Amino acid sequence: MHDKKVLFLAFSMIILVAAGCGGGDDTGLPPAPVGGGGGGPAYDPSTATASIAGSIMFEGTAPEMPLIQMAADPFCQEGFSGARSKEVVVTEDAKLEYVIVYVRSGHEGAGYSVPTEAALIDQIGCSYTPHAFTMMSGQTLTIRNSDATLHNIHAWAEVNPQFNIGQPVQNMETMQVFAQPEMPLPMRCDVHRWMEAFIGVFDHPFHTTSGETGEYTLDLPPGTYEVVAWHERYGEQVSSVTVADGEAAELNFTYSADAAD
Amino acid sequence: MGLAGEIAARDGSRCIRIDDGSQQRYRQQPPPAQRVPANRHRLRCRQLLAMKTHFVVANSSNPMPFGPNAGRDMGGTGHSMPEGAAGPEPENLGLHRFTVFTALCTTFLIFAGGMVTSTESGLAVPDWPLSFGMFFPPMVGGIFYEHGHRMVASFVGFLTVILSIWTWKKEPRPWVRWLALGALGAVIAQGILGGITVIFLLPTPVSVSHAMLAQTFFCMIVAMALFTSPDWKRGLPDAGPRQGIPSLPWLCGLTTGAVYLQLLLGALMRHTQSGLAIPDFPLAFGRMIPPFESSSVVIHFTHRLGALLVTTMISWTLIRILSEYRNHSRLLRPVLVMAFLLCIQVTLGAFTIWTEKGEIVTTFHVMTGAMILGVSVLLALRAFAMLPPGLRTRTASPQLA
Repeated sequence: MHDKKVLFLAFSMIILVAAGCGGGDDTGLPPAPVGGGGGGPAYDPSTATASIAGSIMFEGTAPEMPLIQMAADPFCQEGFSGARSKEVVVTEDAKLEYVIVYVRSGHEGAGYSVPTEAALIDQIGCSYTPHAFTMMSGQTLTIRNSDATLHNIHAWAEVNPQFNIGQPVQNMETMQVFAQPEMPLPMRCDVHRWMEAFIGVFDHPFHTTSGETGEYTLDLPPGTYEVVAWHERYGEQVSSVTVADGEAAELNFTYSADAAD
Repeated sequence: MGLAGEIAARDGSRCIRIDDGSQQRYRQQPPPAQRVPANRHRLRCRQLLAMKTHFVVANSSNPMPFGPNAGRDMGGTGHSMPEGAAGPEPENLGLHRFTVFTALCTTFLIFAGGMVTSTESGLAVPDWPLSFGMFFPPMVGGIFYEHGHRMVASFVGFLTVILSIWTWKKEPRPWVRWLALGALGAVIAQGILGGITVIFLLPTPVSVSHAMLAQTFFCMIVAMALFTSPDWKRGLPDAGPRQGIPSLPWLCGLTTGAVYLQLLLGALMRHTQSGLAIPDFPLAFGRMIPPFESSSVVIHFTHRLGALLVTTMISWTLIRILSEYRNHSRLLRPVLVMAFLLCIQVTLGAFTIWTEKGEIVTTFHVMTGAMILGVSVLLALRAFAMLPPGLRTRTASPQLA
């Protein structure tokens, strides 16, 4: 009788631990869609014969980004104190970085194959790199922790399922897939509250971010497009542009320091 | 000052209890043949009271606190001595002090839990019951708050297990034993709710339930602390018949209900991120009534209306006790503490807005709310015990000596 009680207790403990540990499945990726957008013939981005390019201009005095208080984690404090927020980064020639630029309409009708290479977000220097980037729905996202401290990466998705993954070991990698387009999709670390990144997930390949130069280029087929620029503080701007075959249309966006969202 | 009870010990001495409304005193009257110093009389009297089997109820003008009918007289709230019992429940000071310690630790646990929400660290540890697959992860960043909360919660859970076992073994009153068991069930459910909150990424209904079960558990522990107190076991003095509508016990009960409702609204506000939905105070968007443009504004403004309701109820209770029961310190003290805490709480609420949800200020606001609830529960239980129903029609119990 006593043995039965012990056996029952041990079995209960195993069930409890198994139930408690079964909260997350880091490797179980949802099946990637074959294509995005419309149901037409598959479009090969390398065959793009037109492009839209431009700059994200910034008017006024750029706000000084605050120093990030990293005292909560000695690893971050010792290695990376002095880092500033990447919320508003303006280049020397007054162009704005980390603006997501994408086509909202005009691209419908074609099918778009999902890139086979994974997008990457790295937790390095107690910060997300890149701070803002784009990818396609169905594309694999590799989440890496290059820091010798713990991070959790928490996707604050509204359309896609949220996830919250712990990465306690340096160089740990986790794969995730967003099945649905979603813009913007914030990623945050709840351990280090200053860590935040924004992803644009689209069902087509016509999207990019303004890089360190504050400029962007979209390669796409000829047509008339509604193009959107989005910044985490200054919000959204929309513009229409028509681009002919073999043409490179210029489309600039201008944000003002006074127009904080 | 009136005679409340008189106990005759088997050695012939008499222990006379005098109740002047605000406190109880005991005076021993030795057998006529003995001459003992007065201080020794008092000591002997306390010993007699502590060892109930050494005395029996004697002549009494108001037999309720010591009489065999005490359990019925008090509505079974705390004095349910069995028929023929020879006195109040034995004092188990150790259990009482342990329960008070558990209540204090629970107060701190509510603070620690509040800090998790205030610092938005609820998901800093993404797994449960382990933390990053470990028992003790590095306490950095948000992990300090989340895992720290888990550690304090585990400690309180451990205390509750001990409390339940202790009560179950030593407590003669069955309903107190069941209350302790209920507290144990509540703390286990609370732990599981916390885990569900983490695994399902802070769903609002679960987070709010977690917050409210914490308050419920705190009330249970406060009640346990009261029921195990020597004061309660000896029997609280009568405060007279119930008067007015509502009577004081029911007024205190309604006040407790209002405070609980207000804490529910506060939890809803915190877990729907509505804390700054109205960014100014005391006005709301510069007006008395804000434009109800979102559910967040509605929740926030309802919480402010709830504060008005709680203030009204506590003020009403305070005025009632000051006007009718000011000689009863067991009622007066808690209501004064509650009124004092209310002043602090309103101030903290204002500063929560003015500091844009400063973490410490906001968390103290949560904890003070819990303390008001705890004191209101204490007051309500005492009021129900001291103003038993049907007192007006009751007659003196038969003398047993």
